Amino acid sequence: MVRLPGRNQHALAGVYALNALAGVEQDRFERHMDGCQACLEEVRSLYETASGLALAVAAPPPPGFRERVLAAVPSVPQLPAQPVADQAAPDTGQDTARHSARPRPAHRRPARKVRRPGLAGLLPKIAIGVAAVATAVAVFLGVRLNSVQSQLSVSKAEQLALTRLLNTPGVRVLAARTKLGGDATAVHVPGQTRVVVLAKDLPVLPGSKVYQVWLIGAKVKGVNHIRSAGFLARTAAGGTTILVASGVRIGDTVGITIEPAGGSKQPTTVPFVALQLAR
Amino acid sequence: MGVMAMTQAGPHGPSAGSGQGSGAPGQGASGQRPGIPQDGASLAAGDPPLELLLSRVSRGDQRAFEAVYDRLAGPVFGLAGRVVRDRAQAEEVAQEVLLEIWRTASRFDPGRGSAQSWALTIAHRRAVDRVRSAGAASLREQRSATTSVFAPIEDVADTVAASLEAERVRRCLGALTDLQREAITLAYYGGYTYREVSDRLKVALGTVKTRVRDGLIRLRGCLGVAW
Repeated sequence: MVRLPGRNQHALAGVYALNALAGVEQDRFERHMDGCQACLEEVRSLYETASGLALAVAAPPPPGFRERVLAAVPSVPQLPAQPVADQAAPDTGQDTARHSARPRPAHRRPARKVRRPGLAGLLPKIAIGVAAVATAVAVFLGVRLNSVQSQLSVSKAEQLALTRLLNTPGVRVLAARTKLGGDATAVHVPGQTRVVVLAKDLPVLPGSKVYQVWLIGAKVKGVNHIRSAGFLARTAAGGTTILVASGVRIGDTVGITIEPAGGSKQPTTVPFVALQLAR
Repeated sequence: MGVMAMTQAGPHGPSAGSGQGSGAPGQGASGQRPGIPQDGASLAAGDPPLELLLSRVSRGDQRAFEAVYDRLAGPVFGLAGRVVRDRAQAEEVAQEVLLEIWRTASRFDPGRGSAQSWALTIAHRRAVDRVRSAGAASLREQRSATTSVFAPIEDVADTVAASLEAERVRRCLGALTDLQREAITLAYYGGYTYREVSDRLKVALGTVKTRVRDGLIRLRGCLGVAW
């Protein structure tokens, strides 16, 4: 397959934002976007523009429609807070239509306590076959997946992202105890745009607060460029959450803050844990 | 499973409305729209931001969802109608989209764009998926023959002449070159892929690609999108 040079790919941001790419071309652009922060930001801004085109054709739904929709609501189960993982499209944050359409089987395993030597020391020993992933990941991270934590549904996409990363030569695992207690871990391959963030045993937050993960850029002219990487899913006490974030740039630090529910555009407090990714 | 049924496109059999020649559903409606804001951009200052409402919705707050509905139902239904060009199907798509917003509210990330853009992107995707699905394509072709997709500006103006937002969009679309405007409206309102746009306009693929991007960037400047 001929791969278009990056420049040509970039020019597809417009048609992509209008959902006018299909099939292979769409996949290819999404892959391209995974490593192209400028494309990602352009697509986001063009989504905003396109939504203006939608406002311009607003029309009143027929009588009875509102009642029908509202009546259907209680029978529609909601997805737990969990960032959309994998692939470039969700990076836009606008891709729930495509991704959430898939059911996300929760890979629950019976609790299994395992002696946990240093994380890094375990790495090479993990035999990764896709079938064994759920177990391997669970064991590796000391994740206890049980019914109490049913809201922790480690999605297939997250598992795959993590597996892929763990399989990549040069993978780095950074772990730190947070100021609030609990552990935060970042799995990252230097030079790649994706990072898997795991948090374990963080204090349970009230409904009015969320844990928001940030990618904090190296200081340029005294200013850090900070981007939201998403939210940590809510868990029961002692739970573990996994977040797959994209758009990592060289020199980034992963930080986590507590923000008002709904999140913030920029962190409102100093991160209670910071993991400086290797370059 | 209920969720799956909802997320799949419903039946797209031909509907009674296939012979209509008056354009997209909703266009013939009077300017009166009870309960629906004229547009999302000119809400009263006291209204809670959509972002906050979504966050409440993500925790199962049905009252908050009603407020979200009142903000978004008009644009969602109008856009669906515009793209699928069939009133019955537009209703189906709009219902799917609104329930999808309920279902996936927890996935909205304010760091990645506005709530309005998030929701309307879902709506556009759904409408486009519907119109591109098997069986729908030929129906659309029939309709395209009787409804001019090449006169988007007039259509837009007729649809929501009263809306300031529409007026602004109309003005901004008018400031584009003909080719930029035609390519963007065919892709967005028509739901065509850029290859199809290239065929219909008889211009090279690369030209469509660049005109769409240039046009959108110009629109962005004109509409004053803050990003």
